Amino acid sequence: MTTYLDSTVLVSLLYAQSRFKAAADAALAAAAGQAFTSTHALVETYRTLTTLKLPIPPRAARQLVIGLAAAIRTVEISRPVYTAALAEVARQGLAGPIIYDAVHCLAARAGKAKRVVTRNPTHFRLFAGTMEVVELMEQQTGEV
Amino acid sequence: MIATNSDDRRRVTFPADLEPRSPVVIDTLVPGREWIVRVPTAPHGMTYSRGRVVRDKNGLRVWAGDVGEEPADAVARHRLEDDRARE
Repeated sequence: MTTYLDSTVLVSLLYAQSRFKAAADAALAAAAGQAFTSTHALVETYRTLTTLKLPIPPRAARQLVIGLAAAIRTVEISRPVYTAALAEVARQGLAGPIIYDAVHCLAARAGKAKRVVTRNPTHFRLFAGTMEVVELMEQQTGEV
Repeated sequence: MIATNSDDRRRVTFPADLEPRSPVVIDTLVPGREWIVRVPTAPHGMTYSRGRVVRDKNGLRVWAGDVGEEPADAVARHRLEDDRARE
């Protein structure tokens, strides 16, 4: 299924000890080669990895982000997507950082995603249209 | 590059592609177990996590080490911080 992976999923894919790592891996596997993300998500992933409480060094973070390309297609966000995101948040009377969620969601719609996976489903559902919004949740692996 | 702290009991080796260009300092978080590498001259006086890039079972490159928080939660926090910075 054509699936858009939000930055929250990307950072979870890249951090071995994340409590969401198994769920992120499962989301990627479920997409069966049809996972995609956006240029904005890649930049946001680098921004997050390099400014955690104990940040990953910049060169290592770059390696990790670039390594995503092997498994996840990246789409560029066009001006019409930004324009649509601005229009949508304004129409709903929304202010602040929710614009970033709108950009992700509208990029997913522009890429014909059937599903979007994120840690923030509440905001994404505001812009998802007919896309399925799946929350990235901790998985119980049964491993000791 | 191999860096050591002042008492020379703890050492960290950087892969060549991650080698800091500046002197590093090793700080202990939990004595004898957890420690971090600090690069005093790095932008914003960054304190970096200890860890390394490894290849995961699914083929992705991942970071194995301590980053001090859950990255997925940090995304939302950073979005808020970025927004406040624009005010």
